[in-house]
Amino acid sequence: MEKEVKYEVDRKVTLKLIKRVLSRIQGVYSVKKDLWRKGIRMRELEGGLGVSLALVVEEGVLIPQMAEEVQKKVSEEVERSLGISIARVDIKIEGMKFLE
Amino acid sequence: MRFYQRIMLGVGFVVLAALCLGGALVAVGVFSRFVVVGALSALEQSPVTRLILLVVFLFLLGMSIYFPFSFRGRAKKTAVPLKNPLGGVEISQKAISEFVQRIGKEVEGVEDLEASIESSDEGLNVHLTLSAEAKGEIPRLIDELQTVVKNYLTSTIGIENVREIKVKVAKIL
Repeated sequence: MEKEVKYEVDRKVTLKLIKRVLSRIQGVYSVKKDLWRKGIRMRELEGGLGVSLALVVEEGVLIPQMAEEVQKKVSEEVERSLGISIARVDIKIEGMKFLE
Repeated sequence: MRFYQRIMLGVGFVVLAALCLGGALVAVGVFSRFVVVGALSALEQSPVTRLILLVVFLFLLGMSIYFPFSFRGRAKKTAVPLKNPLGGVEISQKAISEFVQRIGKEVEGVEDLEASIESSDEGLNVHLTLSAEAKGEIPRLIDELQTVVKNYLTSTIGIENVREIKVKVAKIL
């Protein structure tokens, strides 16, 4: 008899995992929050979870490469650790941190 | 922010400041709250002043609803999309401006630099206003600045379609 496994993952857990992944990526300085938008937003899409990130990046980082790395690592880590499939990861660069 | 929005915001702040000041004066006992109630009652006697009060408060109510949404909409438009197969990637114009200013100031002879960005379907337009050192050759400096900014926008930020970089020398130091 095949055993069916059903579980739910709290949004906070997913958020925390995404934050941890972002903190490990070189070039990502912080997640940007403001009055109207959360820095990390998630929504259910047809193919899985859609993640939108508002980021502040470090000076000198190559943005296309960094964005691709963020998208890959967030998708991989969320899928591997939580078993949640990621449909897409949208990124908005909101600012840059200049290192003196 | 557009001109009419500035006017509306200015009127809103003046009314808010007047209300706050009135409330503070009543709270510290400079004048009695009955003076305010009496004044409002007196104003309500005339249909014209009642109508004016109604218009003022409806205007304030409308503004308090309109402004948050207008700023929200504005924030969405001020971003430049980049190509990426794994999802959408965009960068805010404010971030690009900061970046361009930082890079431009590294060009020898550029003392002060302001950057503004316009994004359209045809590409990205960059407007630079600078103060330059008198000893430098201005055409060489502008040429170098345009090259540095363009290279940075294409290679570091990943914007392929840089349409034009306009430079205005505002001051010679």
